[in-house]
Amino acid sequence: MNIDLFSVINTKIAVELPLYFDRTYPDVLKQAWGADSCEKALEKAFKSNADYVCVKFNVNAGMEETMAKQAKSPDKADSDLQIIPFSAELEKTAAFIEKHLKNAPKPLILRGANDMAADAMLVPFLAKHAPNECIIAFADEFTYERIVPECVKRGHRLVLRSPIDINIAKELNILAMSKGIDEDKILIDPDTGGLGYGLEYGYSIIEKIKQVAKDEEMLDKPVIAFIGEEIYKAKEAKSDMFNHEWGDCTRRAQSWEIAGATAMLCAGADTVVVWNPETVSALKGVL
Amino acid sequence: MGLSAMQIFKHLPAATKCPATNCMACGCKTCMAFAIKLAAKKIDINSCPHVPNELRELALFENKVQQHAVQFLPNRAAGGETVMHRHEKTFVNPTIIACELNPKDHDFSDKLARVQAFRYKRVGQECGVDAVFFEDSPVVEPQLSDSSRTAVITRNNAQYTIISGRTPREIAQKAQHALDNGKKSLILELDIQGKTIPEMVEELTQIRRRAIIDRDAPYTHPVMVKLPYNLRDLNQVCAIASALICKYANIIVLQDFDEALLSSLFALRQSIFTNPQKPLQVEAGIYGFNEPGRHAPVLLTTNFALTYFAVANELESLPFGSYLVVTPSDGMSVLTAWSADKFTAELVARSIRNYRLCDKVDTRKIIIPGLLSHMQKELQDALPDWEIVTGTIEACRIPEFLKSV
Repeated sequence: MNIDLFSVINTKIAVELPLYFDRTYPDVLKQAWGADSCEKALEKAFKSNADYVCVKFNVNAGMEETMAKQAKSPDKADSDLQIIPFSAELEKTAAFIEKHLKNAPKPLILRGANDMAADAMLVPFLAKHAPNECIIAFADEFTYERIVPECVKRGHRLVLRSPIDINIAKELNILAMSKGIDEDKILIDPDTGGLGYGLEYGYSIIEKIKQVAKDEEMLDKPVIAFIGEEIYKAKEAKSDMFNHEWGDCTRRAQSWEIAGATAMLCAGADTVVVWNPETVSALKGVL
Repeated sequence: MGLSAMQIFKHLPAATKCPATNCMACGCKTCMAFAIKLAAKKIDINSCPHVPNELRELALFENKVQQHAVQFLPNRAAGGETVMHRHEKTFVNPTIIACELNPKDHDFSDKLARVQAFRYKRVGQECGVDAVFFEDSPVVEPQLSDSSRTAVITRNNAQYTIISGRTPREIAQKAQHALDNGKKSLILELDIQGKTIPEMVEELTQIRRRAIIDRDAPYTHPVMVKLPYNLRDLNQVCAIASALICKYANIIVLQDFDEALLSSLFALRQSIFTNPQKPLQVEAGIYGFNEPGRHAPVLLTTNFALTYFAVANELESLPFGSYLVVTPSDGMSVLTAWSADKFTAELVARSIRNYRLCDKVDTRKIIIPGLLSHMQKELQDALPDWEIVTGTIEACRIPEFLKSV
């Protein structure tokens, strides 16, 4: 078998939505979804031809909102009734899962806020409250001990993130398995930069993992790339402040993610998680 | 390419301990001397009567070209690759991105002008369309505004022969035939009409492997892929062209000229073709954005090009001026530089002094990267005249952060 090829059968496209469409969420994506909230966009995501729907529980945005509200009404802030933002977010998270994700028509990926402090509590919470057999993202070398047992209980698959380092990726797989997770429930997230901002590091690590995976069982796991999040950190993919040489912003918001996601697939990623619904349609049309 | 002296020496009498050790029949004093000369191609392999067949075959193979290059401009060629993956060794010639034009089109000269005028710089690299492609050679040679920057590729010409086919096998057969007929410079064109990305990547990978690994002559030429005329969806064009940049076209001919599409392809091409061992760097120093005044905020980061560029992008977009101090950190990103001692309190203090930051601004506040919050106290001690403020971890958060300080 040729190691340089990616398999058509295993290539999956996931589309990701944040729980809060906060001010950091690009306007071009709100337009692309034709929605101003996660709930509304979620219905469209379920109807899309994405293989998975991924919700990013960006609870930080919710906490900021709560704190801003409390700051505006100082009398309430002094009272005993003051809301503790993080536990309020966990309640909202559980309620959201119950209402919108319990009987989801598509397989789900539930992921944390990508914030070390919040995720230490949030990701195990997600694993506990998610419907059975989801993909939970992500655990790393600091958090896997708490997350793995919850995943084992509910039959989830777990994304293990390592910092662009093949040895840590392998070690983390071994550590997670020592805590009881089945080897076929592991996905490797080697982390990556966005297009124009270090994508090549992720690209090469994925290529290396796929090369080594032939002889190294501990690395022979599906690779998942959360490329959407990285793509839309770059101004090029979302700002209309560029000169006309850069073309129309809506178009750029599509082409930059499509280019980045395709590169990840070419490197050997089995699943790419994208943010723009247009990326899903484009990739589904040519894969 | 070719064998190294040590690879050759392994097979010679002195290394295999046979009686002919250093026999001097070749005219050299030792087998090692012969090996060195042969590696430098300064002696004929047959001047040694003891060369085993194994070495002869190896030398024959090593002297074969992996992939020929076709030169289009003094500084732009297609092909010449030596490895399958970028982590083995830097790829040689970035994919030529061409736009197909038809001289019979009523708006031909407008299009030609537009394609040529399209230029911008990103991370120190000039981006633009490398070539225009003509299916039928124009009767009158088109006037290029700058022929040193834009190449012309035509289907029929004297410089090279374009060999087209539906499959790698078909192309190889035709290429072998052309080589047998004395053609030297070939371009292999794979027809991708109606193929999915995995299908075309599989075929292109096969061609590249036959060239790089097997050095099978008909495959060892640059590969061109034209996007099909009937592919009207620019997003699908983008996906296919991106796949072709990664795996393994040397020339891509687009039917569409679309800035947004090209900007993403240029960014991807730059990523794939950078040297994996050497990070892109910018020059250390103080950079000003939007005519900073004496009260402009001052930020600090390392000279890793991508870090610099991410921060510079944000600062440029602000409605007010700002300064960015860039430390000489061997092009390492913030955390890497810190762990490799390329971003120390002492180096920062020295940089601030050398660049005479105090002459430029009246403010005495320096914002450091959020990833280095643990260095805040250390830096504060090293720079007692300045207030060290910890900034954001991600560049995209800088604008809102600056509003709050």
